[in-house]
Amino acid sequence: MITQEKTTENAHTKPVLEQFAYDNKIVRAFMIATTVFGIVGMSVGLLAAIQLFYPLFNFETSFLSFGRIRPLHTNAVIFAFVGNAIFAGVYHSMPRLLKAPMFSKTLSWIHFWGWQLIILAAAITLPLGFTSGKEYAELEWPIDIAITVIWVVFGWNMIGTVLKRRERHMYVAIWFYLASFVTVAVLHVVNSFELPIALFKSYSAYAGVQDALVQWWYGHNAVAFFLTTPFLGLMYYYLPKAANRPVYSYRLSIIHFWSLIFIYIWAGPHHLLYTSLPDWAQSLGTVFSIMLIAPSWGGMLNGLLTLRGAWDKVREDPVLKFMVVAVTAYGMATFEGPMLSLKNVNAISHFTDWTIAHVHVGGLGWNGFLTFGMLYWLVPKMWGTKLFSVKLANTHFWMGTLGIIFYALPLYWAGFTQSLMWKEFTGDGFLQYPNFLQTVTQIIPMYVMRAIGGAIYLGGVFVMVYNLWKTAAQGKFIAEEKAEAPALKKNVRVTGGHWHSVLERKPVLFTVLSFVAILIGGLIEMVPTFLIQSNVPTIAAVKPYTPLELEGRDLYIREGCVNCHSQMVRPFRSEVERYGEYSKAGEFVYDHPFLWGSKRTGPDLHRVGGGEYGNSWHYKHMYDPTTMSPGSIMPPYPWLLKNDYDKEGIKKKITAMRTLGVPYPAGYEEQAVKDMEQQAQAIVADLKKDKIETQPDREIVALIAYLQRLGTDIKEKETPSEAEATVTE
Amino acid sequence: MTSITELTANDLLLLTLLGIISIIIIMILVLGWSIIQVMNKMLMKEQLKKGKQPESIYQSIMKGWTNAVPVEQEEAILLNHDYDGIQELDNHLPPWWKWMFYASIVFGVGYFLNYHVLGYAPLMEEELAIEMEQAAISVAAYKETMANSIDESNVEALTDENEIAEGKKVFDTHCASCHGTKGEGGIGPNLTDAYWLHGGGIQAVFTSVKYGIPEKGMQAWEKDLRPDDMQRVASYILTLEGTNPPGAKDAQGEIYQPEESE
Repeated sequence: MITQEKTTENAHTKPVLEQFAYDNKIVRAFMIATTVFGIVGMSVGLLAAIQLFYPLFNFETSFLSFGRIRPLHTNAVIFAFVGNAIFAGVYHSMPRLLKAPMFSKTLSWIHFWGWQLIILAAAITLPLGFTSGKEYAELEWPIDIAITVIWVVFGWNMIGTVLKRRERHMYVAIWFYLASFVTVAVLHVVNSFELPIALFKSYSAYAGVQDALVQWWYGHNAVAFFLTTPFLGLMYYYLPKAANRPVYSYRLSIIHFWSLIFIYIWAGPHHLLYTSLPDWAQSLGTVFSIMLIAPSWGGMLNGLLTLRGAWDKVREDPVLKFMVVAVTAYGMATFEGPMLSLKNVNAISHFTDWTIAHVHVGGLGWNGFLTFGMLYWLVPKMWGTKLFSVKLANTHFWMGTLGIIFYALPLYWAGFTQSLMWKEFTGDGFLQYPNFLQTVTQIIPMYVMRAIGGAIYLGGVFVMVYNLWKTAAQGKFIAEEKAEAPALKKNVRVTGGHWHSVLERKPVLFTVLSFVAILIGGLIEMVPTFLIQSNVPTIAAVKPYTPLELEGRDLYIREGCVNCHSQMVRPFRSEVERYGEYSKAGEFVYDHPFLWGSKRTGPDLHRVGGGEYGNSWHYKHMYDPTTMSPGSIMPPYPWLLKNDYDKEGIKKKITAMRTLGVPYPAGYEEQAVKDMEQQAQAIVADLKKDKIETQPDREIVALIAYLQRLGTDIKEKETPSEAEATVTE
Repeated sequence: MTSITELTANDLLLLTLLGIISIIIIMILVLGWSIIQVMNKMLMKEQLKKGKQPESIYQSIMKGWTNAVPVEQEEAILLNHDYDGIQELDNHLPPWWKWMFYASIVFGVGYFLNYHVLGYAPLMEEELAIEMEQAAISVAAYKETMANSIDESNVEALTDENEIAEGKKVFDTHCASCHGTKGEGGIGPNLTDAYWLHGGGIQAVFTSVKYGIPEKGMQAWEKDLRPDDMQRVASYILTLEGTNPPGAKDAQGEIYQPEESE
């Protein structure tokens, strides 16, 4: 199977050494951005964490309320911190692995500034409440387009470099870079199909179940192809470099690379277990998640086993210490993930803080520590000096490690506790903790500890910044690193070799094959869900939202309610008893976007409508949640009581929804404003009965209308009349 | 088992999916098998070259698990590539890892078959039905062992201090948000005066708590509160009469005159 590689050359060939230089300036720029946004993103995370036990830490401004800064935190750490780290690593390692400077300095700098502008736009729009409502894809359509453009610039620059390489074969790090580029492009474009209705407002083109499937195919693979595969690429460069050891197994690289990218893409539905997604799609998510253990561990093994014979170095070198913990955290997270995908485990873990603990082992451990390791290795190299203080680096290492432990353990405890409380029944068939709030106040001490863990971790980052700053100050920045290598000879036929090494010298074919590999899973899951009627059975009683409800729904999206409240009653006894009838696929057909949520910091809201909580209850609750639910950690939303919604804007929204297939009658937009006023008047009149004075065009009125509508369409038929019959006179 | 004619589009789809998955799995198995073959051949060659060395049991077990070429002999499997100073060894796939991979694939296929073809494992709706059925049985069994339930026909006002204190707890948790922390009224009516909209006295109050007044926004508590808890809270509410808390809502309804006590 393995034959000797043969090079057939054209007659006289004297290798001519070419001179060129690697550009360190762009790497430095991305490294600075990594550090700055790391601190920003983690600080916002700490802010959000503190708000979970001290809600007024939002300084009572809408811009800093939890629902808005939680997406700011996730976007900042994923796309700004980890994103810039990826780019720093790629722009540094790729030219060296290919013996060619990056294709174009102009493209490099367009990429750099473009990406930073996107981050800036995110940092402005998210606190303002401009959001698509889809997790990790919150940014609105103009920014989505900008991301696409900049991503293409990045890909162009990379592929250009690959094509101009002086190394015939592509090293495994490059495979991961290419696959990541291709897949992220596909994910981002497909998930961002949305219909713009204003500069920073759009509706997802997909609705309900389909939107959920696309979103979690994207969401899961954002983890896979943004947080994992590019970092595996970085690991394959920086770990053997730092350890000065050969990579353990080339064939393990091959097998785990292809199986990883092929299987990963199928696993998205494991985020939707026990939801209204068809059973078969859920099971595919589970099954492929289990099959993902070995391919993921392939990366961990190749990392750890590369250190064979270098463990004595690990004891001394902080760079290797960080990397070992990173790779180990990767191994733990990629084992835990598949376990959480098993239906019976997911039934316990989903919607709780267990998930938050899980992602932070991955985020803080794998992404954070690998980035730190890389930075500690790069700065001395690029400034031609030694690390300022190994002691400080070790301090950072221990602060980080303890931070992760103090962060994760309380949240595992919290998640487990809360889930068991949700499910606990008394012998005579009542929920043991019928009041959701009881299950929240129980875990608040864990939230405090988590914030402390996060603060320690963040403190470590400051220690790193100081250390790296001093390191740079004692050295001299090497802006360009000269190198030389013979050009890759044209008109040369290389034949034979291992079949995979053939692929490694054909970058275009390689990229196309990885594209095919990542397409299969998505297609097989999505096409039937979109095309086969039986996957989303229609429910005749389900009608489009009234204009006022639609407006209220947009406010629900703007305030990020979805970050803490699910709208998905799962078919469990504990949820049917607590919330009501479990959610059906057909109930979400007009939901652009879907708002199922992924976390229940507060209770599920899918069946909150129908008047069980009166209008005045909602009014008072939004003004100050603690008056209605003493001990609640939900922040107050006083601005909803003051601000007016945009009445005229509803016309455009109705038209847009009709374009997306919501059956509003033709010309309904003309009547919409009137209908809106009428419904609002009724709510205002009802509030007046409880001595609450408000105006019909206040935002709170629209939000109440939406909340009262939630989940009621199928209730209408089922409301038993016996309850009314037995009421006393 | 269904006959071919009964297959729906969904079933066909599942079968197609299974087919695709099986093909993929076969491909992976074939690939794995060929890699083993190559490895075996290479290993044999190497051993022949070096001559045999005696191994301890531990070593041979570890070798069986990891199949790693020892660090001292890694020159033999060092590939002649060099990427910016990074070299690669050509170690075998660790057998334990490979078998874990195979096992996960077998598990995956089994899991899918079990749910969607053989039908042994219940899908969501069925699972809920089973869960509810079991709950009904266990609740019924529990109630058998309990004394007769309290309901509106036999409920009596409690006067024991501890019971009233328990009733207050229930009130604070569930009622205070609408009726005020002292029963002074808010969204709901004042409970501290002698006026009642739906009847005073333990039985009427118990009934209002149990079935709610849905048209006015008062929810039915029978699903959330046990009969004895409803009795306690109703009893507590009766003790509030005449407490005159600050900010009390105006009286609504009619004065309740207790009938002759039995």
